[in-house]
Amino acid sequence: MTRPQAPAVELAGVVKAFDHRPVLRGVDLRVEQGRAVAVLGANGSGKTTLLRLAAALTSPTRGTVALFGRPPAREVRRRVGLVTHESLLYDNLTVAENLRFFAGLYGLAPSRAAEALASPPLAPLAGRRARVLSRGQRQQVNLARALLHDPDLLLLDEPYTGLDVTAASRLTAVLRAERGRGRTLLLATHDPEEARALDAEVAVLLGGRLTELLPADALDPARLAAWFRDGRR
Amino acid sequence: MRTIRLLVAKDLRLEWRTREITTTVGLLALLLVIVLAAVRPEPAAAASAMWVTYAFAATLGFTRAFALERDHLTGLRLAAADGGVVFLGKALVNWVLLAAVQAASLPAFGALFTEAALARAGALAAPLVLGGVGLAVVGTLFGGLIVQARLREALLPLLMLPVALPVLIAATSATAALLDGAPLRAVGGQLQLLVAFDILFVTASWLLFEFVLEE
Repeated sequence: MTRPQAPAVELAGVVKAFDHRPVLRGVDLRVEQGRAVAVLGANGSGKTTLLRLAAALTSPTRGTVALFGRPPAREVRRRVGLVTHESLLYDNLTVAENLRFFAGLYGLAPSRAAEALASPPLAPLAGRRARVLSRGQRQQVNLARALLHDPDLLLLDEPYTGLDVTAASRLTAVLRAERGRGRTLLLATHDPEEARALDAEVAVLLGGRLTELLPADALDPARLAAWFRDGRR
Repeated sequence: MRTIRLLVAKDLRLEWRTREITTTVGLLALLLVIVLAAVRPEPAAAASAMWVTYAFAATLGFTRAFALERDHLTGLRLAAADGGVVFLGKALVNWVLLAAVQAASLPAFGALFTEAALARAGALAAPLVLGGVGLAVVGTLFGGLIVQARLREALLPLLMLPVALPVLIAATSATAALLDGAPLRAVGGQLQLLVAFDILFVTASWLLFEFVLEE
C-alpha cells in the first residue's frame, strides 16, 4: 500500500494581519501535488500575501502553513519556484549572468543556467542586460529563473500582467507543459480566463476568506464580477 | 563561502558597470575633505576630518547598496540563502567600497591636512580597516532593517551613527595619535576596542539577519 502524498501546500486557519489590520481572515487551502489551482481575487484582496505565505516568505499571524507536509523551513522552500509580475532579475546583469547567479545560489552548476539558455526563446537573449528586455522577454527569463532548480511547486503571482497576446499564449503553453510534467501550480490572478487556460481549479478570495475549490468552468463571470465589486459573496 | 563569493562578485560587477555608489560616495568624500580643510587645515584636525568624511560617505553608500537590492531580496530568500550569509556578503561589499574611498582620499588628506596621512599609511591601515569594518557592519545591519522603509535615506544615519559612535571615537583617537607620530602599540587599547566591537556586531548581525529580512 502506498502512502498518500502530502499536499504541496496546506494552509489551515491562516490569519495574516499588517499593523493589526487583517488581510487574510482564516484561510484554508489544500493544493494536492500535481494539481493546478488559481486563487481569484480583486486588487488588494490578499492574493500576493497568500502566495508569500505559501512561499514561506512571511509567517502567518495565526494558523499554520505546511509545504509538502512539513513546516516551511529553508530546505522546503527550495522546492518552491516563484514568478511574480515584478522582475526579480538584476537590471544591469545580462540574462546569462542572472541565471548563473541564481543557479549558484541554489547550489547548481553553471551548466544548469546554460541548459536553460539553450531553449529557443532564451538563447538570443543570453548576452542582453535584463533592463533592455521587453516585458514578455523578461517574464520568460523570470520563468526560467524560477524553474532553474526544478521546483515541485510553482507559485505564479499575476504572471500575465503587462503581457501582450502572443507573450501570454506562450506563457500559457509553458505553464501547461509544466503542469503536464507533474509540477504543482498555484496561480494568483484576477482573471478567470487565465485559470481556464490552465484547466485549474479555482478558489475566490473575498473579504479575506477563500471559497471552496471549484472547476474554473463552474464560475459565472457575472457573479464573479459582482463578488469582486462588493468584496463578498 | 560559495554564496558569499557569489553575492560579492555580483555586487562588485553591478557596481563596476554602473559606478553608482563609487561616483556619488567618492564625490561626497572629496567635497567633505575640501570643505573641512577650508575651515581648519591643520594636522590636529586631520583625524576628525577623516572620520567625519568616512561616516557620511558610509551612510550614503550603504543606503544606496540596500536600495539596489530591495527588489531582489525575495529572490535571495527563495533561493534559501541564509540571512547570515546575505549579511556577510553585503557587509563585505560595503566594507570594500568604504575601503576604496578611504584609500582614494588619503592623498587628499595628505595634501590638505598633514603629510603624515601618507607617510604613516601603513600604521593608519589598522584603525582604517577596523573602523571601516565596524561602520560597514552596523550600516549593513541597519540598512537591511530599513530597506523597505519609506524614509530610509533619513533613517539610516539616525540609526547607524549613534550605534557606531564607539567605533568613530576609538578610530578617530587612534588615527589622531598615529598621525601625531605615536607608535602602533600606543593605540593598542583603541584597536582592541575596535576588534571587540567588530566581532560583537559581526556575530550578532550574522545571527539576527534572518529576522531582519523577515517582513
